[in-house]
Amino acid sequence: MNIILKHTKLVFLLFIGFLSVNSVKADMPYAISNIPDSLSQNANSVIRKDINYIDIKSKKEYTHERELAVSIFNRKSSYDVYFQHYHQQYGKIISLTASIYDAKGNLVRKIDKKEIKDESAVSSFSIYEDSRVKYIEINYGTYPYTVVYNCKYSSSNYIHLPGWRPREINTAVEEAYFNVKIHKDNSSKSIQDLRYSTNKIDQKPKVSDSSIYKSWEWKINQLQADQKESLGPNLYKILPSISIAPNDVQLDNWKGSLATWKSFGKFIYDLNEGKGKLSSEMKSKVKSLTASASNDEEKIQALYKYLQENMRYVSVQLGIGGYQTFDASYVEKNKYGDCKALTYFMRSILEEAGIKAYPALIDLSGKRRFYDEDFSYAAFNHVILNVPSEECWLECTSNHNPVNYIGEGNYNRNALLITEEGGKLVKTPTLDTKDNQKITNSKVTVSADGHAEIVSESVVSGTLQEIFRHLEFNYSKQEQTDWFLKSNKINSAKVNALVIKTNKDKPEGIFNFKASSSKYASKAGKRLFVPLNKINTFEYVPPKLKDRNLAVHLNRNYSKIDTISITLPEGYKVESLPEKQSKLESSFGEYSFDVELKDRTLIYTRKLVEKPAILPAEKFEEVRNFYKQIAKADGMKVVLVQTERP
Amino acid sequence: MKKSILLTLVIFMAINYSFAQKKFIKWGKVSPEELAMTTYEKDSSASAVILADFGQTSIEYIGEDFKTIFKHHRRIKILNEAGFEYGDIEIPFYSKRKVEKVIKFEAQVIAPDGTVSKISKADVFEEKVNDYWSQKKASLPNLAPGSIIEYKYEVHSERIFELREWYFQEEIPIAHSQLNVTIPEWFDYIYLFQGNNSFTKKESTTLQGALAGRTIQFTKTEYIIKDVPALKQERYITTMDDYLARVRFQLNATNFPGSFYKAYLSTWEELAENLMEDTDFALQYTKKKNYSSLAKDAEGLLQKDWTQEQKTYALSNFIMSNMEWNGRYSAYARGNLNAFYADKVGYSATLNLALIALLRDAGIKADPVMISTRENGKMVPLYPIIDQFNHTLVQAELDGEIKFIDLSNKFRPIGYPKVSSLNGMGWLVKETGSQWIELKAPGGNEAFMMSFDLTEEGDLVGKMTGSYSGYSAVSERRSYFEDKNAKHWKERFSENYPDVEVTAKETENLTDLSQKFKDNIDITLPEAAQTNGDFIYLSPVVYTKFDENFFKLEKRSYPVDIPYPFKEQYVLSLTIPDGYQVEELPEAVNVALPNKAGRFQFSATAMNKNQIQLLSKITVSQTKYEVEEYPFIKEFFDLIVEKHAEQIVLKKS
Repeated sequence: MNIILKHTKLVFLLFIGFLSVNSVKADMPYAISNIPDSLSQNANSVIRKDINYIDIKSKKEYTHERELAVSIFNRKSSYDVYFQHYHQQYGKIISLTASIYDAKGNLVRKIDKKEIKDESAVSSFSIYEDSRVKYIEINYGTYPYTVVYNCKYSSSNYIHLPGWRPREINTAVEEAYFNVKIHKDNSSKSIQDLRYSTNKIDQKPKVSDSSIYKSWEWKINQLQADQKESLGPNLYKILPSISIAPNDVQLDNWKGSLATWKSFGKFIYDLNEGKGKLSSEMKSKVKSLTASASNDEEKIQALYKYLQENMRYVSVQLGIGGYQTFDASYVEKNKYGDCKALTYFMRSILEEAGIKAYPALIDLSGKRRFYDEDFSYAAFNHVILNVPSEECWLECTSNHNPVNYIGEGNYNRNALLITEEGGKLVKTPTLDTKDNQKITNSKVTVSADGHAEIVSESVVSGTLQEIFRHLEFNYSKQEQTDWFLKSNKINSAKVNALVIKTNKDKPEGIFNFKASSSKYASKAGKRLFVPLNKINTFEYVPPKLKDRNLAVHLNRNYSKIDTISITLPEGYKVESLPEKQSKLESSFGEYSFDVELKDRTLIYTRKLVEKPAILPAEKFEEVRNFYKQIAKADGMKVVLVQTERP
Repeated sequence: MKKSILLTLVIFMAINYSFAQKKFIKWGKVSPEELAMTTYEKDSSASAVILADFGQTSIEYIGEDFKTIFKHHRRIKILNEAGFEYGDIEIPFYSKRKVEKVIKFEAQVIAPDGTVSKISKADVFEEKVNDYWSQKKASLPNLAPGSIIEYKYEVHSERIFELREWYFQEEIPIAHSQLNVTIPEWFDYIYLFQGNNSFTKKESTTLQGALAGRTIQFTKTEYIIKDVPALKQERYITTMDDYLARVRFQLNATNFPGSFYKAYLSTWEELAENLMEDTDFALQYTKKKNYSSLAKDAEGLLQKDWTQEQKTYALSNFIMSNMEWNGRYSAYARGNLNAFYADKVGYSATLNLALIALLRDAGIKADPVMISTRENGKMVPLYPIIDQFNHTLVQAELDGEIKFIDLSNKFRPIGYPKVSSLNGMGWLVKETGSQWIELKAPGGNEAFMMSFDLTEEGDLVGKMTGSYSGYSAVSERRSYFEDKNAKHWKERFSENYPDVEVTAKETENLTDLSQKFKDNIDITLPEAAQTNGDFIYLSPVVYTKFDENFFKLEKRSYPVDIPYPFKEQYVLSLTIPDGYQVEELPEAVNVALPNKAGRFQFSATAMNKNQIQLLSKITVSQTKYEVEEYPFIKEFFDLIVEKHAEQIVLKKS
């Protein structure tokens, strides 16, 4: 994962607070018995109070003070075990304390300073990041209990301000409060105004405005817990949240405006201006690489190939605010870079060849696929490259993607193009269901003892070829075999041959294997049960729900066509053949299978198509039934019976 | 245990020795064969190979102190892109109080055509990992398939009790791994070697040299292993560290001129004596003043007529409801019990030492057992090295029976240590007669009694009684604490029966851990059977942990180590629909693993016209299996999975 913007990783575990806690409940404010019954429903935790003050002193500095009290009912709570706060180069945690209260509301203990851990927040290998996480680990384990945290954070260089999510899933809120204040006293250094955008929060903030300060406050009381439902929308869409953004920004000495996508894009453009200078060697390299190209398409091919063969992705999360790239010479020298370094380098060599290209910022964190046209803010963590003249998109961190194939995660979402005129919010291309295919032809020869020899050949494309491209280049032969053994559904499989090969120029590939299984068919006396389909099987059926509340979001997008010819052993005849499934068709997919007996061979054919769709909640049962029928049909067995006793 | 080395050597001048080390690898000197190489002959699937790994450890006198100097030089051949990750270098070092530092780091990449690219200083980073450790990090430039990576550095360390560990094995094969250790005569180290590989060469020579202004003898030992295969990650293992070829060194004694011979490693007896007088260990439970506030609050908790086991449960609960495990392992109390009790928190051993104090006051024999957890690695009884332990649990004699107790989880009964504590053995520390003991893992048992009616449509309707003991009961009890409606059962059945209906009935002994835990549920499994014409085909095993073989790989490189023995029993009595008769039943099997390590019994019997009785019983009593035994255990579970998928055939009469 390429993360250029560590700000977006800030985990805010809620907020707010309303300041009336000291009345009736004054003696034991955190006793679990004080929680209204209505709030306990579906709740793994209840936010007792969450008070947040964000104090924006200037374009350079803000502080965030937070008091969070949360009652935890069980270990499924999102608040159990950890409280964490990320900080980085320009930010620091000024204080962090915590206290644990038991179910009756008695103080169990205060968390010692020594128990607060400060670790590097880098999950996998990253050569350098300035992001760290401070966290408190709670191992109390006697539920329910309550933890009260106090945290103060300050940042001295920012363009992204902390957002607010009053709660996680399965969490209710008693009282929560969010207050943002700007200081307007020193006009050149201050922020003059703030913008905000809300999700699932209808109330307007209370705004106080004077010549010195302006503040916005939200209060939330008695909010019941939402329940997670399978195939539901992204959590970020369900949970209430507020995002805030300044208009005037300053990173080090770079000043700009975040007021519109256009001005934000211009700011990023300026921040990276002059970073793309190539050495004279590189310039002549570009010339020679493109010498035989007859058009721009061929030039892109040649230069992207050069990038892929020579540069590799290494996570180096430095640079101002995560938005300023390294010089192109850095990539030239080291032959590596992070997503922005590789993207800007690619842009430079294309430019040298006379092709205009623009970096396109993206958020891969899963929070945002599409942005509000009218609410611009700095919430990106990845960048790819767009060549508008050729309608071409390039994922510059990939060493193997074909030109104009950017990988499943980058498709069908907003991207902010960084152009000399400023930012432009655009949409990345969308893959069609027919672009993502797997066509498989298999032969299975079953012996009387249940043993089978399997030969299978698949042609894959689009998103369905990504795993194979990854396997081909990043796994050794042995690791590919181990992957196959772990992922296939054939009992007691042994691999005899495995071929994985993808096309350099197109998102296509083949996956062939020869395997044997000593227990493919199961025996019972004179009968043999032969599974119809062990090659590409569908298994997931979401659990039944009594009351479905959320819309159904289906993201899968592919078609799979299978033909399996199953040769049956001598001395057996078919006793029971599953009935064919004629076409089930709907707006979100299609499924059918047929099975025919020809001499000693069963010919099984199957087609499965899944299409992305957003459906109203009441459609859930229909979707579930569709999956259920597929899973059931895919699990069918042909029953053979001996014709004569041996 | 606090140790400090007291060296009164201020009179010595700081002159350090150096020997001409004959190196088998020289910086930047790569052979044409190394450059031309495209695959590694001995392991064609390797994405990279360590051509040479050279470590040198020595002791030097710097400033007014002895330091250990570790020099490392490694050369890696990158064979394909999957090997690029070995161009990302991380060198961990102990940075607290600046005990260690990494210096003279250099790295370069040699392209197949011989061009050299060196890493620039600006691209080497130092990162603080946590309060104790930091690491130097670098990503090497200009990598391409065929490149050779080379890097070297030195670690200067004030740690003299242990020398830097040397691993002869990595995730990629190593052609030549060599460690040279040069020790002055004043120091005596023992070395601990582990791994299946034997040394290609291990040779000691004696040299003359100067140290701290004197001419003395040095012993130089070369440890060489060639052609070390790549390490493979496997499941069901303690820790991979237990199987890696590696060598560790521990200070045994010092013998400085003008001062006495001083032993650092004593004997197990001596260690036990010291522990009995250690304020951080035995004094916490032998001296009342250290646990007086616990003892006071626990007063009156016990009734005279209780069994010792009942008393132990009461005291364990008292500690667990008043002290929280901080999640960290320690073999020592790490402070005063009263203080921990006031803070309501403690290390893994703190809680157990507190229990020993209260048990002893209650007249129950209880002693600590020091162990190394599974994740922490194997124990070495050969040398009295106390640092190998990272946890302490309790051995108590309850009503005439020896039981282990290991506090942390309120669902785990007496006699059942944490699963991670099940590492085979432990060192029992007593006033007299301390000894290594076997820490035998009691097992987990579960039994399911199912009673189902099968309908003509293929639905199963009926009920289940589950009975659980030992480790199996821990998670079952917890599930009911979290959701008394048995949501966990619905989730388990949903995988194969998406329309399952589950109604929880009663449970038995939910809180009494000394007894078997039982639960009862009503179950409906719609469309459990496949129906076709006159036939109904049913897979009668509707729930089992063994519907998939955990052992899928054809071969195994390391022994299998299952934490504890277990049993799973499944008994089904099935009523078939009227008008149907039994056409076929699965064949019975009764197989055993060699040496009675395990047994699997399976049978299906028609009891009368409309009743079928089915039994599946899996017993695994041996927990460790050598690589040669792997095919047996794989085959054993293959057979279980196969039988569990078999069908009953019914036909309309």
